[in-house]
Amino acid sequence: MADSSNNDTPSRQLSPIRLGLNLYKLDLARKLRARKTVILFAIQLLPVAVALLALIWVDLDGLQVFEETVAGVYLPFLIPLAALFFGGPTIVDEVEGRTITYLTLRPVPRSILFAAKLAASVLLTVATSTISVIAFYLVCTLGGGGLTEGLDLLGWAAFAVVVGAKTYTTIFALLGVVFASTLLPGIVYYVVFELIIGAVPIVEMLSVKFHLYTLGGFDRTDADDGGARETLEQFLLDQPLEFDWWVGFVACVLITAAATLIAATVFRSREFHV
Amino acid sequence: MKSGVDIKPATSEDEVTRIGDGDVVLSARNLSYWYGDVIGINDISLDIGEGVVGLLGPNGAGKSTLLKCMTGQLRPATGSVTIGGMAVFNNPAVYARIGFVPEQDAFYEEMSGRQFVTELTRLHGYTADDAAELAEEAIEEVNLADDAHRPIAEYSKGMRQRIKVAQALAHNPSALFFDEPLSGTDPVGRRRTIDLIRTLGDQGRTVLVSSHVLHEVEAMTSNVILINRGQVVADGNLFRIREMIDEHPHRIYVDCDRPRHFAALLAEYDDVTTLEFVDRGFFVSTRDPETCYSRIPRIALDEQITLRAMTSEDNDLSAVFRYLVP
Repeated sequence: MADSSNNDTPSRQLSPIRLGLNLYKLDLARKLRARKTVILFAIQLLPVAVALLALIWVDLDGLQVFEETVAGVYLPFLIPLAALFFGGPTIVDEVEGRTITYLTLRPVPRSILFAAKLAASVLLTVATSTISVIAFYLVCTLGGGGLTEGLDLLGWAAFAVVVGAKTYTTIFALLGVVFASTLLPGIVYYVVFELIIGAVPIVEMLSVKFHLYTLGGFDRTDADDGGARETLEQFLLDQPLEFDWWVGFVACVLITAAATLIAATVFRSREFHV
Repeated sequence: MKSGVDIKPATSEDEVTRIGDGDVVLSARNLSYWYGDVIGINDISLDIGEGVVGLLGPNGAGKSTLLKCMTGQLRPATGSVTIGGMAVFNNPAVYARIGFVPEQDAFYEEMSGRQFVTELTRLHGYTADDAAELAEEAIEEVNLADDAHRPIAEYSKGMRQRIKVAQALAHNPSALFFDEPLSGTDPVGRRRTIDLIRTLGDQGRTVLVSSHVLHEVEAMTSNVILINRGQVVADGNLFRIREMIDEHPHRIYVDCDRPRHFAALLAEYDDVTTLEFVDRGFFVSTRDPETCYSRIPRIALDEQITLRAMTSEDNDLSAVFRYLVP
């Protein structure tokens, strides 16, 4: 091929890592400016607002409310919701906006392209969720319990939130790549794996929620509407399944790694009809 | 192998269409792509050299599919494409050397034109400063410097077309692909884009431009590939297409205020074979279209007949496809 480049064209580095970093910065900046991010952050802060209002009328056991809300609201609902909003559109937004052409025709290897965009999505999910949990903790401690007394609890809760945000975001990004659609596959996954399977003893290990409770040290029976579940657990097992925290962590890391690998592989060979 | 000096129907399945100047830059062999049961392109073999090459065909002919296969956006069902000897699909080394102007009107709308081009140029491996400088040059080339600071969401259709061209040019690619680049542009923007494409070709780059409008391509190049129903039906020199159009009988519709009088005057000429009256005018069939086209306005002027329209379905690209594809 004739080299038609001008002699004064600056040199460039086609290192995949550098290209990936450039794309990561671009994507993160775009997401930070998006209205969707602001709306989602506001939703994540709803428990904080509710707790602030509750403080006016009710005497709260702050640390107990914090623990129950993390286990009953953040981990099963708010974290998956944030992940669905940030993770699902990782690639789908570019396809639906028909801008994917601009990215796939840059000399960025497809797997790096996916990884860079996923990293930006994960960072936003983790950031919005963690900020919200920390703010919620601060408000709860105003109601009693003391700021420093619950730091251990906050640490484990934040750990579970970060790992959960990362795992769910990757799963929803994978679903977006495979089905080229965000909402429906994400909702189906959430209902089937996290709500239905996640409520059945033993097979609940297939849900992310189970492992998040394990690594955060939260009581699953407190988190769910326990009647049916407790009966089932007593029927099938002598005692509920209990694992050390690191088992939950390793499980989430493995789920994240597998989802990333599958998504990158699918994305690598995918054609986009835009 | 075809010489590419004259327009000629592609007759043999084994033939490779050769077009453009200099060495072969882009090569396709037995390229096919299907959308389920629907054919996109079928068994296309091409060698394209330097300079501007027009990819002409009616809507739905397979032009965009061919361009997408050539730029690695689609993976052919059969066959192969190489650019500079390298396989295209999923090959970053090739993407570093090509520029693509997509047909779709899609952007990061919240960005300014300058940001859009700069960010996409950074993804070609340039530093922020170098990318900004290259983007500025490309924006100058497409004459958008004065509006580069504005959000793309505020751009007119023509400006949006030009910013798409700028993002494809900024990294100085050796091969450029334009998918319907003049669609929606105003006459001035159209002229500038045509001039730019010609300049890129003159610089020795390989420039492939798809269009369904004959005169658009005519203004850019005389080298064309005609594609219809997913196959290359002819390739070569555009001037020959004009001759082919004129070699075939034409049926011309004349819309005027005194059709019977006008028709009677035309009937005196030997090349006129039939006359058929309709509501507001008449159809005249001729064996010598070129002469007849110049005769009609002249007679109207001499006889003071109001000539409202003079059109023919045989005087455009679709007619050529009718001749070439029985």
